[in-house]
Amino acid sequence: MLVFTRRKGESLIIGNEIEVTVLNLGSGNVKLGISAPRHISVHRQEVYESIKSENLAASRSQIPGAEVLKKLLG
Amino acid sequence: MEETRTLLIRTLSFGEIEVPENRILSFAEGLPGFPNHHRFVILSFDDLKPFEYLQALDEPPLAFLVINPFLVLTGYRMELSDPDSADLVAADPAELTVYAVANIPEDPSRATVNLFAPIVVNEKNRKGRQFLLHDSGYSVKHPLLKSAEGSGG
Repeated sequence: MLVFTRRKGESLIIGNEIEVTVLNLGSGNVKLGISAPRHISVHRQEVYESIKSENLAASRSQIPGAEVLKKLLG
Repeated sequence: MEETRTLLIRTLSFGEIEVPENRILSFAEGLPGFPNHHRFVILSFDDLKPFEYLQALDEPPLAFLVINPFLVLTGYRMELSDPDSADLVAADPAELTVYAVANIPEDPSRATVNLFAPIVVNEKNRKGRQFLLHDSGYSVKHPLLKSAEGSGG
């Protein structure tokens, strides 16, 4: 992992198009601003991980038969 | 006259299926957890309604059971924030199709649907993406059972 020290207001450039700026430093947290092209999505890691694991679980879903379909919302 | 080419795809549950090329959906980023699956197609079967299948064309075989989230939750709404949705936001909302990913485990009473991260497809340019509705309050595991009865255990 690359490690940088940045002050408030300073930035990092990733590739040619992504800029991460330190906007504010609090006690125990840091506020970051991210400029990225529209096709790059940016998410909080823990939220992204929850979707990832739900997708993995859903890819192993059963195929509902008629009985199950009847019981489920339709 | 132009002919629509078809692709033969290998599925885990339905054997080999022929798919017209113009039905292929392109997911530039893949899906969270599946970054290398970029091409999908929707498969509909009468005996699976109201569910459909979002079937990947890329290897390894991958498919999701999906359902219209508006059928699951009356009043379901999603706001696509601008920077997230460049490919999709410009479209007429009527050109967008929304799918929620369902998960039916071995005990079907515990079936859930992911209302927090719907898959949105632009029918015009055939592009798709899974959105994360950050401030929606929707659940990743919204129960699919008609009633809460029997949903225990």
